Amino acid sequence: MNPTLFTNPYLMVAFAGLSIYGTMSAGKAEQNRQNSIAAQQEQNARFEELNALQAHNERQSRLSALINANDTLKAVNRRGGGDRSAARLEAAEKRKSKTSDGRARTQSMLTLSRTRFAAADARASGNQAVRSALFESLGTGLQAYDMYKEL
Amino acid sequence: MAEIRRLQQQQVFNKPIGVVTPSNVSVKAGQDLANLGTRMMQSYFEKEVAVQKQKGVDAARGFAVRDAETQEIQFRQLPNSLSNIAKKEAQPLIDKKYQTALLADMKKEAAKLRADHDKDPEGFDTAYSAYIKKTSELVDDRYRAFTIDLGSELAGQNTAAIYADKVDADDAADFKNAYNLIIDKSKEIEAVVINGAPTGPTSVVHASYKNLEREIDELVAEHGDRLSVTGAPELRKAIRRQYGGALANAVAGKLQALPEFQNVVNGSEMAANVINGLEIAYRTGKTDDLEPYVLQTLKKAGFREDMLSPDFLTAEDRRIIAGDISVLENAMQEQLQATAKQRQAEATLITLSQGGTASKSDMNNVFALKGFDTVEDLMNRLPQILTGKDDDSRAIRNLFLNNNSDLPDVVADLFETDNLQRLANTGQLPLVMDLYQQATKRLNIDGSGVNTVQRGLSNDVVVEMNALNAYRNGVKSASFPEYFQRRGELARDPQRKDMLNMKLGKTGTKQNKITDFVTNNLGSDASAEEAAFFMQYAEDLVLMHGKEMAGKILKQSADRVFVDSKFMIGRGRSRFAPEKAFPTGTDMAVFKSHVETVLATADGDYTLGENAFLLPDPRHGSVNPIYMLVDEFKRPITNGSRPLLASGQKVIEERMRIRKQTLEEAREEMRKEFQRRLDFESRQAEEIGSPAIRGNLEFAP
Repeated sequence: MNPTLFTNPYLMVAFAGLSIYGTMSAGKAEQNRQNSIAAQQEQNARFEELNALQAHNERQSRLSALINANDTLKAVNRRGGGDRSAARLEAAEKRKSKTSDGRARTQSMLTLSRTRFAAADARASGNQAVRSALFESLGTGLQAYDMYKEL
Repeated sequence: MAEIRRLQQQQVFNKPIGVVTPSNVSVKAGQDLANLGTRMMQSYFEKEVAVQKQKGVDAARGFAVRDAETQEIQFRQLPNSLSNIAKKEAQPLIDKKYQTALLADMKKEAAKLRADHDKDPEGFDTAYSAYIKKTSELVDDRYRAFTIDLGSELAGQNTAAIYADKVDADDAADFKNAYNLIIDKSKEIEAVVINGAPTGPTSVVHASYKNLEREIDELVAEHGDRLSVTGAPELRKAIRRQYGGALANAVAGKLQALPEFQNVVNGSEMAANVINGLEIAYRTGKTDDLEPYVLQTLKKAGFREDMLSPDFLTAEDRRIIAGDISVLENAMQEQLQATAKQRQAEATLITLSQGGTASKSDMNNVFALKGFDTVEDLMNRLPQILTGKDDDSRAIRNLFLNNNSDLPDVVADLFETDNLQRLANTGQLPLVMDLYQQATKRLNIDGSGVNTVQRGLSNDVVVEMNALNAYRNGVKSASFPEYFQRRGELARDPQRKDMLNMKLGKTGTKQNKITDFVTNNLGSDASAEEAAFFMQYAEDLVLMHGKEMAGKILKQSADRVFVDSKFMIGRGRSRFAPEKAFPTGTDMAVFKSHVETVLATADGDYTLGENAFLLPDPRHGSVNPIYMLVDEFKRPITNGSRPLLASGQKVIEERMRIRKQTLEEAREEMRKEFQRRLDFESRQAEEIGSPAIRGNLEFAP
């Protein structure tokens, strides 16, 4: 105990209020911080969507280019649609493209999901921090009341 | 065919750019602020707690658990204005106070009940249990359990203590009884031995003594813890010494009773010599140094050598017994001397009663034997001696009244100024003056007048007593004690002579003398006797009252103290005149009748005032004078060889008869009447005189 302090039970109450204010401020700051993290994660999710779309378009574009090139070659070589080998090659390319699309889609969905989860988690943490501060403040208030009642 | 080159491009995609972790400084700032608030809150709380605790201590200190007037415990609660912390701090202290108060009360009650139930543990337990029950009902709930627990503990402790005390007391009483029984038996044996019982080795007494030793052994065996280390040996020693001393005393007693020591002249002295031999035998432990006659006589009285045996008495025992015998021997010597003095005193008294005389030393001896060792002894018994009718008082009176030799020392001391002062304060001065008059004045039986004997008194004493006597019989302006006190002061005053001359004054250039003053104030008809009488205290009167007042006093005295009488021898003025002593017609008639009756028995035919006259005996004063009857030639009138006397006794008897008074009342009334006639007649004198004081002094002027 600091001997230089003069005694006053109301100052004790005032400092209890200061403690509650500090606790609430800390909770709010933590919530803001978590919200900031959540916003970034959400932004990342949107970028991931965009990235997945761009990659898909690229693969479709390349498949389309390949099919067009093969059609040109078949035309040059007079090989009709009945050319079984060319058909088989084209089908194989389509099959390969489809596999890549599936894999890319799965990867993208997982990444997107994870990122959104991180965002949601950050928001939840922020809210939880506010709640914790509220409960702690309530505890401080009750403690202050209990102390005051003894004096 | 030419080959057209195509752009080899690097695929570019928009990707997530990661997360920047925001700073948590704000969070920390908030937390620090909260921590600060919490610490300060705690700090202020602790500070306030300390303050409240002190308040609690102060409240407890000032909390009275007892009523200020009745001192009874009062159960009260702490004031509600106190905080919880203060209450919590104060409550244990107050509890302690209540517990202490309860403890004190319960201990006090326990002590009281313990005293009431001494050696009665059951009674105490019952009474104290009832007290605890009642107390537990009366106390606050908070202290009920404490009261019951404490009460039980105190009850147990005290009950156990009372029981222990009882056991101890019983044991102590048993010890005391046994001890006292031994002492009593020892005393009984001592008494039996001293009374002359046989004490030989086969005697009952000796067996009883031996039995005592066995009882001491039993006492030690049973109560050894109650005897000190030296207790038992000391008890044995005391018993042995008592028995040995009793044997010696028995021998001494039998010695004194032997026929050869019954001679009244020297029997005791001879016995004392033989007892001295017994003392020597005990002191030395042997009989070799004793003369054969002494040893033979001792044996005749029951002495045996075995009484000195070292097996029986130690050397210390023998010395102590020898000391006791020495005391007995001294007592016998003192008794011898006392007997001699007693016999001498008896002889003196017989001599005096037969009209003989006794020397001063003889009278001193008588006074000492009668218990008058100091002047105070005499003062204390003076009234009894002077008026008592018992043999002792008569014998003492004879010593200084019917004897002319020097007065005994204690009597002479009475007349010293200091002692007169003390007697004046106790109202006994008139008694001493009566004593002086009767011891120093003698009426010559041949009718030649009064003779004065000095009785070894100094001239100063004689002068002082005469002056006092004159004042006492003169007119008074102040009470007798006042006069005496003042006179004492004047006597010590170094300026006395100058003061007297100043008060007497001068006639022209000649200093007036006291003799002239007296003669002038008494008048030409005053006799030389009157002048001599008043001269004795005239100086004091002048010094005390001044010339004018003293003159008036003398004039009144001349008229009232000295009266013309036709019955007194010489027919002149006399202070013993019956006309003055019996001024009323009835008293004078009675007196004259009495004198005529006495004269009727005379050898001859006499008539009062014609051929028979009165010669006063000054020893008896002038209130109720006694006269010798004489003829005109101052020769005693006799009946045979016995001179005839007249007194106021018949007057007193007549007054007793008429006024239904006792002898003392009649005498007292006569004295008062006499004194009233001597009071100085002025307002001032009435104010000065104190009837109470004067009354005490009017004994026999």
